Amino acid sequence: MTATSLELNTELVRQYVETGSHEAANSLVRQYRKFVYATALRFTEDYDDADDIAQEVFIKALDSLHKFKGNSSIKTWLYRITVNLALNHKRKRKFLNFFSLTESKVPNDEILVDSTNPEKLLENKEFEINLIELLSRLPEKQRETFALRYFDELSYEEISEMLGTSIGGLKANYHQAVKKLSQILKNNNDGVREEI
Amino acid sequence: MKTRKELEQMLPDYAFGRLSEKDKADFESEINEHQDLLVEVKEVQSLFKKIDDMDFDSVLNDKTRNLHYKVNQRLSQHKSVLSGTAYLIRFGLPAAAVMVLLVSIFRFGIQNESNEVVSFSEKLTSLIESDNFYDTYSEYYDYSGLSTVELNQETDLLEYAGVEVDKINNNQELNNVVNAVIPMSEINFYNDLDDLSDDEFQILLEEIQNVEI
Repeated sequence: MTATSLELNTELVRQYVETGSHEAANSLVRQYRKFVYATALRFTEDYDDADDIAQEVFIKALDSLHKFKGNSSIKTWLYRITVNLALNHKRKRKFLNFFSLTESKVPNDEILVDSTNPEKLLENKEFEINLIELLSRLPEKQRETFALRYFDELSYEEISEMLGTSIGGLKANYHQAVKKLSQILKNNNDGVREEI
Repeated sequence: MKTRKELEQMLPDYAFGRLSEKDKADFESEINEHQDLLVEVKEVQSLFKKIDDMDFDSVLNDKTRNLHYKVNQRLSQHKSVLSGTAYLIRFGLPAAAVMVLLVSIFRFGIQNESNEVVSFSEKLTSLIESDNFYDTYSEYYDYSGLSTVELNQETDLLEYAGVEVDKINNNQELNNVVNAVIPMSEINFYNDLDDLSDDEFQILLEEIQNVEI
């Protein structure tokens, strides 16, 4: 994170805490929406649930923004809130499913609306589903390290702060995750060729 | 000189072009000694190309486009619910607590006091009205360390004070009895000495001398 964006965040936090400004709240949500949503999606593997959790995360964060001391970055703080809420949500869903009080959701049942090419849309859609399913095959630490490094392009220092793992451990996790994913992707490709 | 483990840990970042120029140069100068790692780099780059091409970022962008609007809506709902709850916490709960406290003090405090009076007066009434009042009364006084003689003196003084012991039937009179009995239990023997004449006092002294202590 650059010094400018850090200053901007500090200013937004100050503005929201002091005035409750909607603009400041919107800016914060817009800035971190994809990060929070993607994190929730990795844990829930369901778009609707990820959407609900992302909303809850921001409500909770904005509600307790006055308690934010700045000891960690806002991203790290939001990441922790998201993981906590997503895990709680997962536990709740598991519990309800166990007693069959709610129907088990089939993940990834939505279709992207923003594409002009139907073939590309379908291809993207299939791969998007595969990607989420692919990531879910990794152990949580490896999956999170991979996603935070590969998709979110965070530094090892930031990831270490979020996951509470040493940088050496993270690098080893990252390598293992890439190796496993490569193997799965390779197997998938071979499978496709065989079918063809 | 980097170890194999260090090179392995650098491999993904090298494959995805995330190494600094210095680390990249270090990695490239040493990777040739580990041909299997070089093969792995090429494989990773080719397999992950599809993920790179997918543009997952635009997918997330679509999914979260209206998130700030939804958050704002829920936040305002949340605030209105919160303000109702806050109002209840600030005023409702203390008021309820005070009410409960007052009711319990009034109800249980009075009841206890009343129970005590009733039970004591009932006891006293039954004692007085019973045939063996004096025997029972003397038992109480023996228990409290007073002699039967003192008991009789007290009863006499009670009657002398205008209290008709046998006719006590209600609480007010019983309270009068209680009020009359308690000070008498400290027998005003010493006060009575003031009323004695010199002769009576001399007789009393002579009697005391005859008593073995």
